[in-house]
Amino acid sequence: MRALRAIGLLGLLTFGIAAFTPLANHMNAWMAGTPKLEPSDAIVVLGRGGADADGVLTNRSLRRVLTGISLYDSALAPVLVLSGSTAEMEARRSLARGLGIPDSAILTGRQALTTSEEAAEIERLLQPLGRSRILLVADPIDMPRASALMRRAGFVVRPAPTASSGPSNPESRLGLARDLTIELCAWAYHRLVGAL
Amino acid sequence: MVVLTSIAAYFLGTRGLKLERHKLGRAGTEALEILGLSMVFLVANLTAGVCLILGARALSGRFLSAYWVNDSTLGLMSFLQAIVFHCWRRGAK
Repeated sequence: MRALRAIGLLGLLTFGIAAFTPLANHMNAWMAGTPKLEPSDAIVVLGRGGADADGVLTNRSLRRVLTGISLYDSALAPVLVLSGSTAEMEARRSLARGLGIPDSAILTGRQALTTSEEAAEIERLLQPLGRSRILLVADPIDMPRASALMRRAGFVVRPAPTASSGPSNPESRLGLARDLTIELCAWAYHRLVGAL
Repeated sequence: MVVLTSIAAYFLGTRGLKLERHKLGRAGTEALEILGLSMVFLVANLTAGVCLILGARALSGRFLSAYWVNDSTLGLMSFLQAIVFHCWRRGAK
């Protein structure tokens, strides 16, 4: 019973810290690192969450592609690479086209469902074209693992995180804390299997 | 808000329902036990979910996302499991 009480107290404290303090926001900003928005060979927008059956992108996927489009509009790279599931890539491609990106500037490869698969697919797409300096668009919390995998695939990575401070209300902070926990588990798993 | 409704509940309990004040501490520790039990169920559910996904991946050769277990309802279901288990155990005493 004592053990259960201790676990319960720990859970309550964790909940309080995650929801009502800016700890998750600080970790989010820390994981994002310093953005390096410099002219590059390509803008790479990694997949996140795919798209619904009706082709609607998830919030995070949408944020990423909009960041990528904004970087393209700032003339930071001549090519926009859209990655992820087939449905996600298609939805993103039509959005990018609709927002004025020429079709010739959009590159999509085969479906890739994990970050490791995406790194391999983007390597297959860009390295033969000699495009090795990339602006990597991902969520702040995904940036350390995604950057490491892209560097491992031979790219010079310039991080372009979608945001850095994170949400300000308790419910969203809890969601962020949950995503941070998942990402740290994914990081540990990749280290364990030697993928990083 | 929560503080206000908690104070209101305290007065309702002590004055309206004639509950004993000294048993409030015991109720708090029991609530912590339920919370602890919920966390045990949550970890068990997450572990079972990830194992099932990895097993299905290995058996079918198809990719199944581990993000499937990343769902808020799992927390709520774990809480319900804990309440039922706790009531069951208390009834057995």
